[in-house]
Amino acid sequence: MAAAVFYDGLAAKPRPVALRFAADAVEILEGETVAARWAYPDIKRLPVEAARLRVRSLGAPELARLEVEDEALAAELLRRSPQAEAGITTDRRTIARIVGWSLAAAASIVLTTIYLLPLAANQLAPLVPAALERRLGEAVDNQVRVLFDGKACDGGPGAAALGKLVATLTSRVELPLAAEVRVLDTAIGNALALPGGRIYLLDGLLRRAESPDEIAGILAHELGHVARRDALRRLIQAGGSSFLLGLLFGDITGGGTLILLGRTLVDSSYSREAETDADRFAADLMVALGRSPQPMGALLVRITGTQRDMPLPFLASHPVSEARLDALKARESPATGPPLLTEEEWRALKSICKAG
Amino acid sequence: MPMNIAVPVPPVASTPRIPLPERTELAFTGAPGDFFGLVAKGAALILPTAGFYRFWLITDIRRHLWGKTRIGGESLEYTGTGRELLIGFMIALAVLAPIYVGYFALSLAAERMQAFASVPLFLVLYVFGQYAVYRARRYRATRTIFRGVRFWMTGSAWRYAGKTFLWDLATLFSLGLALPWRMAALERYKMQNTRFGDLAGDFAGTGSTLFRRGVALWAMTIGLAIAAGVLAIFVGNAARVIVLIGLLSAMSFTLPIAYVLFRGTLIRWLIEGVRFGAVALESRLRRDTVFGCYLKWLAATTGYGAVLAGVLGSLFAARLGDLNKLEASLAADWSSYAFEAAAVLLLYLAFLLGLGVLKRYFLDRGIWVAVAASTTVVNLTAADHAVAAGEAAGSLGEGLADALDVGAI
Repeated sequence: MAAAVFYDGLAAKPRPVALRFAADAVEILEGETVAARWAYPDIKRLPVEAARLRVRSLGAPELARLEVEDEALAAELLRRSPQAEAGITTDRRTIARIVGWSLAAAASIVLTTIYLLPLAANQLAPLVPAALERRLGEAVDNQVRVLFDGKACDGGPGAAALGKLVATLTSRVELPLAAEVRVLDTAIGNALALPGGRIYLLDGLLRRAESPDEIAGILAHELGHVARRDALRRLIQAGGSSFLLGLLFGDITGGGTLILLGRTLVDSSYSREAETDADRFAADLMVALGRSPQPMGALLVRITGTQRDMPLPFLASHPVSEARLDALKARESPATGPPLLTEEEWRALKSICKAG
Repeated sequence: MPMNIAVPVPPVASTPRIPLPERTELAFTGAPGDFFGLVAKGAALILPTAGFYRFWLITDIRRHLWGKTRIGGESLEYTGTGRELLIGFMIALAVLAPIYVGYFALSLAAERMQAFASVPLFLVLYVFGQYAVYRARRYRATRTIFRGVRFWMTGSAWRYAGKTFLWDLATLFSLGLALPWRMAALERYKMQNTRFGDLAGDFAGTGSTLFRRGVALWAMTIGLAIAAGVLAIFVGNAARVIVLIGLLSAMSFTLPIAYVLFRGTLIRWLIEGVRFGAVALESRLRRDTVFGCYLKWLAATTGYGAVLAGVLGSLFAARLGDLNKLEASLAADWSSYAFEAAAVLLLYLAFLLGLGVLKRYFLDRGIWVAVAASTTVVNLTAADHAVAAGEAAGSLGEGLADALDVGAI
């Protein structure tokens, strides 16, 4: 019964051997001949079954192995080999390094997503043909309708009033795509611009609006998004960020959530800039029509409440209303132009979803 | 006595000695707690490393499973490292990024490209996925050491991907009936290109064997669906709804059960077919053992989910009276629920990471242990003559498999 088994790394045949501890190296003896001589500092333990000792030597062929079954012999070999246990498993220092580099890589990807992707989206958006954008818009359109579970409110005097308002607004601006405004019957107070120029005005907004200028301001704001092709840019950016973050997190369990969280943060920071620009566009348009941009701010505040003391303003997809309100206030101008809708038209528009 | 002459009894001395084939049992010696600790620690480190720790976790898992699997006196050895997997992943990103971006640009370039541009991307990624599967297997093989000699693989990953594509088409058009022959052809390609040193691998399993063992499972799923479909054509409108509802409820039971049972059948068939020269494997793996692994996993997952749901429920019950109020207050001022939102997010992450731990413990380890306990190596001494050959292969395949979600333990 041999004390140890030697595999020379060249053939799979087990070689029963004895061990002799010399001063600087262990000698692997096959009968009387020395099959190999491994210097103690070269010897590394391998993480296999704890009951047996398996070592290799940095000076030997890569796969040469020595297996020691005898416990006393194994203990003696380990005692003489100072480096045997180093780097045997993923130790604390390695883990700390992995954590550090991971955070650095994550930071780099997040910064790319926040700063470089919007640049890329800005460059790419003008290259997209309007026809393609309209097709993309149709795909998004279906999702929006399902999401809000809303019937479109059309027909009747309300639709005529809406048509007049939109025509007045668009007469002063040049848009890359024809804008098309629709009202959806839902209590949610919001408005959104899709790729392809379609604008949805949700009825909750109309219900709480008190004057035509409020709605005109909101529509002008959405027209601003259409003019900048914001929805398309956002689409490009969302695609890019989901690609980057998706690759970063790979297929780990829980990656989906991290991607979602990351995307929310990134997208909302992007849209804050877009919202500010659209506000400016809206203010310019309203002033050009001789109406004040301020009522739009009043409506925003009525819908969302004051959000000054919100703990996570970074997460809001719409910028803090007070801040936007301040910006709109600065553009306040007296109403010199004619009212955009008559009293009767305004009442019709307000009840556009009740008529049908 | 003539009767005695008719039955000649050869003299004892001339009896040909038929040597019984030498049989060696496989055994797994790892403690359950060690493995659980390993994957739990890994799950905890996934979060602060934005997922990068997965490469080291996978490496630790393989090192554990390989190192604790004994064949006779010796255990296997896994020599791969987390760093190699990370590098493979980086290269995979470099390979995949132009494909994604190119596709993106293509779909933006012209409207009419859109309709058919999305199909090639799916196909490209699918074929790439199979390419990755082969390359990843090659990486794992060349990091698997037994008796100081490594396993390795020849063959072309592209050829494998092409074969898979054609066989998958055949499987699709035959409603799954070609699947056994697909598995046999692909496994043969993989095993005939696998070597232990200079000892050539082979695969002895046949499609018809797998077909015989699995055809009942096919009948209780796809066969059932076809029968119901045919029936639905010939009955009236009212009865059609009943037939389809009956089919759906039957399928929701039979499909998962058939999947798990087939997995057991498949694993056993795959093991039984393995050959390296004169060395062969035998398997006694029972379908109910594999089924048991899944049942334990299901019970653990359900229990774990129930506990977390209880925590979540008590958290919200304390804060909120009724749901209507919640909806109204969320619309008005959701910000005061930031604490709840953060708690939900954290619980959700814990849930997902915990699911990963349970899956690795009950399914990956559970099935590995069941396989080890039911496998016998025949003629192991034939491996004595193997001479080392082959080199460690790169880890690009593992990286691609990771990025494309086709990875394995």
